[in-house]
Amino acid sequence: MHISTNYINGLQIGRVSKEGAKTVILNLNLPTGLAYTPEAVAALLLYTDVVTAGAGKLSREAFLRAESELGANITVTLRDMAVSISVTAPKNNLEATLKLLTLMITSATLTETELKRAKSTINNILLLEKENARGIALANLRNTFAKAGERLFSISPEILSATISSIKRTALLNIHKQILSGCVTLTTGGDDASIKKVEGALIKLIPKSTPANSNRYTDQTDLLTKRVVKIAAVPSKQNIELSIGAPLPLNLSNLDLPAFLFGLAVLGKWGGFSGRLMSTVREKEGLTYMIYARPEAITARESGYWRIITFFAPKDVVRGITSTLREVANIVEKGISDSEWNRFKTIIKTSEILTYDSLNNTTALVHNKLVDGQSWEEYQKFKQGFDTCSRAEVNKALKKYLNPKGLIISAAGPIKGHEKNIQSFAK
Amino acid sequence: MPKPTKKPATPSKHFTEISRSEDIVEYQLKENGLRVLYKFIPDTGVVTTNITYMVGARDEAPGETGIAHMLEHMLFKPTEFDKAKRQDAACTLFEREVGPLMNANTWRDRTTYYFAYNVEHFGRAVKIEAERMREVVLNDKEFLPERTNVLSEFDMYNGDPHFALSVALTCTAFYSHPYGHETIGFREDIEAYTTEKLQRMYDHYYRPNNATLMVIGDIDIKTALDTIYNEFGHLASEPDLTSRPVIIEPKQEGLRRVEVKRPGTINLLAIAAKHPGFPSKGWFTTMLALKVLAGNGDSILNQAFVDTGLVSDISISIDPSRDMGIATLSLTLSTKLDHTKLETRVLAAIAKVSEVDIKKQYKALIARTLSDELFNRDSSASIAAELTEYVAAQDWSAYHRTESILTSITARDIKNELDRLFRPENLTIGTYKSF
Repeated sequence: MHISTNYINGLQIGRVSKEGAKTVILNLNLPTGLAYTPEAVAALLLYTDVVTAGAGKLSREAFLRAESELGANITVTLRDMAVSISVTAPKNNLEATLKLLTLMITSATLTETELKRAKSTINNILLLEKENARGIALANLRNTFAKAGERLFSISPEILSATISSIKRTALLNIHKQILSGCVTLTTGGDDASIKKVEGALIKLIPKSTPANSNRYTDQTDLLTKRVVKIAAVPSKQNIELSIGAPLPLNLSNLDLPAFLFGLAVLGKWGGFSGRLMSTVREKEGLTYMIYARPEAITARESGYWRIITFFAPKDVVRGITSTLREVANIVEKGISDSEWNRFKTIIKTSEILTYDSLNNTTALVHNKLVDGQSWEEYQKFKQGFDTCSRAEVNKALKKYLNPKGLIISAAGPIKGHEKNIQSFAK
Repeated sequence: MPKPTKKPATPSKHFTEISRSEDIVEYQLKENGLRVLYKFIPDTGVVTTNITYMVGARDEAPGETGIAHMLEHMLFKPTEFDKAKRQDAACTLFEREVGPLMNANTWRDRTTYYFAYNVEHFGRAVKIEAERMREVVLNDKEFLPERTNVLSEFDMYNGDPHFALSVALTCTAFYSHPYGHETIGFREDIEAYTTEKLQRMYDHYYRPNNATLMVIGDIDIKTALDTIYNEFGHLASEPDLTSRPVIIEPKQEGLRRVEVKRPGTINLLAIAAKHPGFPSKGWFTTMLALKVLAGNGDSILNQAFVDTGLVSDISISIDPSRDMGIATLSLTLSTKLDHTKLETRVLAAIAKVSEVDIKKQYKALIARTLSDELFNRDSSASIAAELTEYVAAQDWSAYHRTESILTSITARDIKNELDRLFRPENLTIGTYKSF
């Protein structure tokens, strides 16, 4: 597998070349530049549905049928106010798939009929969010430090649902008109010939003068100094979902970040059992099925936050939170051990090697890095930080950015009868 | 079935090559019957090893539902070797020191453990699998905290209305066949497990002659087989390991119904239909029939119900179970129709589907399904995961026949299958009602 990234006419390009690949994956990220408002998010949600619902002379049914007959899959989603297009196709149908994609990008019909349909289906989906306890716990955590209009603020499903009905077709047409004018990122995974075909078909569609990315968002950059507890009732669930975390005033270019992420991995590496939280709260104490920690929403220009994701049975919630906070306090006070420092260097490397076993996963990795503002070379350099940071630097970063007394504890689930106990963690 | 090899190659004198299909070869360890499936993927530096035992939820007795899954959890606990060295479980140490992809899962017909890692750790991974095949220490000190984790896992699933309804549907659909409960079992049974029960299951089923070890990735066959022989060669087979009893589910003579009621806001309708076992042509025909109904945005029921706002979501599921299982069509209600009206309309819409309707979708249906197969075989771990289902169905060579099976199915076959599936005497209908 050969990986490279570069700029062509202001377009960010990622290439993951695999000899003999029978499949092709292409990911496009198209920032809209829209302000983060309920109206804009609602319009974009509708756009991501309606843009695949007919193009040129093809109705929605004909478009979807054409896509399926090629064994292709064109998925359009919303990612941080950017439109994200993901396409997969067997190599032998790539050219026809690219024609279909080009038709969608240049000539989506965005009809009133499809807009009406999308309003109804998206509203129905938003209603289901009322019982998404994990999503509610996360939204409440983010909204503790992010204000309305900020990138990390979670707009409630109720507000989005109420806004959707007022969105007019012109809003979607305006988004479509501007869709290629932001800082476009295109990443392709496949053999060399497929990559060439993808770039040949798509680069010509994108205007040469691309505006520089502007950082319009005001991110929370202060660490919290006190505990905040948020509780939401979702009575139909069996477990209480928890998001425990805090804003993290670091972006990808900050030299402290690799050391901090190293320490966070020791605390709760995502997946498996190697993190301290899994080996104590789950393995030794038997309090939960899973407990992990990870950073989120950090880009080259913007800071994000970190959080622990877990759940406990209502009867165990106090013990569970107590154990979790104990592990956070321990890693801050005592730091990571020499053994952990050595082991996690290997673990982080293994995780990377396993990613390269999959063309899909490697293409996704390269694309995500580019969208976050890191070229492949920059990412390689960033990763070296995990190798070169000392144990003392890791422990220093943990002390600086992981404050057990400055955390948000956000719980959602069957909390009846447990509110006071959970609330007591604010002290 | 796999094609018998005419001239067995012998990369190791301890193994017999028993079959091959395209680039996958099946060997058997002469000493104890362990089967090995080997597929070479060069230049990746990565190997996935996956051991699948022919024991699953179907092998559980009443009152012990979920015990195969509980045992799966216990295989991450220390072995006698670990205890002697006063160390944590070797698999846990492997994960903590190297960071391989490590996990396991239990299903109706099988239990599977897997690692994906850099090739230099092959020996360590194989040794771990061999040691924990026979030497895991099952005592209360290890078992009781792990049972709490399993209960936590149960509650995680059970909090999902779709899961709660699926449990009810499964129990209602089967009178006699042991597929009549979910793999994780019932909470009440989980709370009643003992280490003795676990030990009994472990001693009987965790044997080389009841397992298939898959080796997929960047390792040569000689090294692979030599290593496997060194670690597994001395393990005793189970002489009394008998074939599973053939259990014929009694004929269903009418529509079956079940209801689940809970506080909340979500309302569901699920229509479950019995389907032929995997990987028969009938199983794939059922899968295509379900996809005609709700496999894509332009499928018949999606257009009729999701696009019109009558339901929020439709999903289909079909298990790759070896015997007759249940395929399910699940609909999440919006506020526009109640359960009864929705059921009537959905069944009427299915009855109206004609061969002509299917022909319109046919090319897309086959192309999409074949493409999904291609993308599912993207890494050593994903290849092993898919192959596992074929191994569990005891016909692994069908892994290479999916294209020919799929393309042999006609629009008429799909129409006939739809008619068969949705006869009342083949259906179990479940409703989940929030209050």
